[in-house]
Parts: sequence; C-alpha cells; structure tokens
Amino acid sequence: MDWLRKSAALLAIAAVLGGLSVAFNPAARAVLLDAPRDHEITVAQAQALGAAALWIDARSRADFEAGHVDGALLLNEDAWSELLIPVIERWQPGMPVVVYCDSHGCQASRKIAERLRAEAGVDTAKVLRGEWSKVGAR
Amino acid sequence: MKMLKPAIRLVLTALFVWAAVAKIADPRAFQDAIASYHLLPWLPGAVATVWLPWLELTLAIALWQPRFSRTSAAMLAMLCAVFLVALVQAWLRGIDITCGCFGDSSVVSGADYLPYLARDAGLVALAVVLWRLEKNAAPVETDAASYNPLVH
Amino acid sequence: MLPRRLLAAMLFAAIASSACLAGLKWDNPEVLLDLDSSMAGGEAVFTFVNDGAAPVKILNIKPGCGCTVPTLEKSEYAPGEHGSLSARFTTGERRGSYQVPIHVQLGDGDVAELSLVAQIRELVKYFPANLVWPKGEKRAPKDVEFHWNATDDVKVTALRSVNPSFKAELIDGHDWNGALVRLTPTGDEVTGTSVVIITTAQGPDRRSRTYTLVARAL
Repeated sequence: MDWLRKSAALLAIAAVLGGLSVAFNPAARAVLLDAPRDHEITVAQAQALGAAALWIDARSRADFEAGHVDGALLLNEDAWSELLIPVIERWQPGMPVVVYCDSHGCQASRKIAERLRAEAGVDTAKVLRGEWSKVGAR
Repeated sequence: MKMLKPAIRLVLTALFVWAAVAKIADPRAFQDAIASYHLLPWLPGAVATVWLPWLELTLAIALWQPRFSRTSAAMLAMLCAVFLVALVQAWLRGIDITCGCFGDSSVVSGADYLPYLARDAGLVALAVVLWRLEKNAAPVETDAASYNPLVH
Repeated sequence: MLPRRLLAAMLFAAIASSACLAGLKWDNPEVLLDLDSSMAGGEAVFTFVNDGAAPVKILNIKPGCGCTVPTLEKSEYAPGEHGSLSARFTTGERRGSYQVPIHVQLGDGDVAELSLVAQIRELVKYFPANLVWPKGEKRAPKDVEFHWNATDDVKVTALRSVNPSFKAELIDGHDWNGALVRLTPTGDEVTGTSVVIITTAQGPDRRSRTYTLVARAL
C-alpha cells in the first residue's frame, strides 16, 4: 500500500501549503471566513435567474454610465427618492432583485438592499457576492 | 520514445503550475468559478478553493521526484477526471459556468464546452500515459512480500 | 551566528516597518464625521508629514464611494514637509453609519489606506414606509405619522404621489410634533403602485431632504 501512503503524503503537503496560504494571504483567508450571509446571492446563482431578475446598480451615476449589467436600473443614496420610482414601477411581488456595486468590499449594495427591504417592501432584494462584470455587461 | 516521458512530464508540469498560480493569485475568482458549477455547498467549495491549487502545484512538482512521480501521475489523472466529470455534468444540465481552470473568467455555455471537454480529456489521457510509462520504467515500488534487499 | 535577541529585534523591526504607511506618516488615518439629516455634508481633513529622506509624490486618491470627493493642495511633499488631504462627504439621502475607505496611491508604489466614518442622525422618524392594500381589501385611507423633535427645525414643503391613482395629502390636527400624511387609492378598483415623495426643509440652511413611501394596491 505504498501508493496509498504516498498519495496521503502529497495530499497532506498540499493541505499544509493551503493552510499557510490562508494564514498569510488575506485574499485566501477571506474565501474561508466570508461565509454567505442572509440576503446574499452568488454570481452563478444570479446568472441562473436570467431575465426573471431585476438588477439594481448601487454605484454613482458616473460609474453606472461607464458600464453596467445589461438592463440594470440605477439606485443610490445620492438621489434615492427619484431613482426609486422606476424600480417600484418595474418590481412585482416575488420578482428576484440583485443589487450590486463595485467589489466585495463595497457597502453601497448592502445599504440599498436593506432599504429596499425595509422601506419599499421589496422583500426579495439580495446583494451580489462577486464581480458584477462577470454577468452580461453593457 | 525515450523523450516521450520527459516531454509529457514537462507539458503536464507547465500546465498545472500555470493553472495553480492563476488560482492562487485570485482565490475569489476561483471560488466564484467553483460556485458556477452548482455542485458543492459553500464550505466544501471554500476548502476546495484554498486547497486545490496547492494540490495541483504539489503534484506538478512531484512528477520530477522519482519516488513520487508515478503516484503523482496517477493522482493528476484522477484530478483531471474529476474536472472532466464536473464539466460534463454542467454541460448536460445546461448550466453556464466560468471554467476557472487557468484563471480565465469567460462564461462557458452550449457549444463553448467542447474545447474544454476535449482539453480535459486530453489531460486525463496524457496523465494516464505518463503513469503507464512510469509503471513500466523501474520496479521502484515493491510490497513487503516480494522485496529482496539483495536485488534492490 | 547573530544572537537570537538581535535576530528577533531585526525581524520585529522588519515587520513593524512594513506595517506603517511608508513615506508619509498620517496623524489621523481615520476621521469621524458627526452629521445629521439637515446637513448637506461634512469635511474630513487628514494631515500628514513626510518623515522619510526622499520626496513623496501622491499619484492618485480613490475613495470607495461617489459620496466622497477628495482634494489635495499639491501632489509632491519634500522630506519634513507637512500636508493635508481634505475629503468632502455628501449626505445626499443617506442615514446611519457609513465607512468610506480612501486609497492613496504613492509614487513609490505604496498605498495608504485612510478611512472616513460618517454617522448621520436622522431627524425625522416615520412609520410605516410601505403600505399595502391586499386583494379584496376596501381601498380605505391609510395614515403615516412623521415625528421630529420640537427643537429640530423641520417643515414639510411638498408632497407628491407619482401615480395619480393614489392621493396623498397632509392632515392637520395631530397632537405630536411632526406631520400626518394620508394615502387613499382614488377608487375601489385601483390596483398598482405609487411612490410618494415627501419633501422637507431642515435646519438653519433649510436643506431639502426627501422621504419616500411606497403604496401598493393588489
């Protein structure tokens, strides 16, 4: 069973190296520590929703106009009241809503999703985990 | 024929070192790619994200270590077979994925799958050939019953 | 072989030196802005000194939010020179706590990470924000109470229902400091949604601050 011992050794070496990378690389650590929370959705899950989902861009107007998910609506806290109107006109109860901003560390999408749920009754609003650019962009 | 073994070793090493480094450089992108296959729940996916690239790197380097080369070739063949099965199941289910194999983040759907399936099948074949060549090369591994210290 | 203590000290120095914001020494890498909804925004000032031996150039400043705009007097600082970076935060329609990272790219390749923390106290409280008339329910009026402290200078200046099928009006005669908004679908058969925008003037500058209600008749 020498091959079994050697296989186990190689697997163990890789596990130790992986453990060291978690200890010293913040990006690797974030992968293990950053468990999905309530009201979050991965890029893969969001893509699977297809045209059924309403996409909300939580960034500034300048960033939105530079490029955004195809069909997304802009909604940010610079002009919440006016920007909310087309969102409410489009949303129907039960329609999934995906809110995104620039990166994993971005707070804006979280705030917008919370306000949509708490103030606007959009109980399906979730925050995108991952890069929005991986979804079909315009 | 003499050059075949080192040539295959070189190709597999280069490919798997490249694949490993690309994944280690951007763990989040690799995690998203694993999630796109809709196979693993979050925690096993996260563990695979941090462990798999180092396994690829370890196996690629172990190909050049006489004591481990055959085992490493066999493990690479199995690893590629697992990747192939993951690709096939995503293709059959009609899922759009991000391959994540070499750090690429392009979406794979429909007919786009074919080159990826061919590539993985080719890698399985290469690793199996290398394993066979290593097996036939020298009787390094012996079990206790047939071990003869005078011959060793 | 160097003594172990000396080795440990060298290692500690190496780690400590790599941990500081190299080149520029920041007096206050995190600034807290205490605001309320009547304020248009606030300014955070980050001061620093070049405590290195070479001039330091600030190449780029990238705040993590469009709500924060940085300004710098100049981009290059000689050794020993003091400077400051201002970051103007705009309240907009925000409320609660916001942590805005500010990445400062330096000429030697280092990045300084600053942090602006804004706490925005909302002067106006209202409930509910979201009104629903379920299917089959009579389209009776529903009221929303707005409350603010007597000492806070707040006045409702405009009321608008985007969908004319929902009437929005200010009702007098309430016994608290604030306002009462009544929403009424205009007919028993009304279905659809409306966003109702309540505009207020707040504070000594009469800053305009809006609030939204969402009305939904199923």
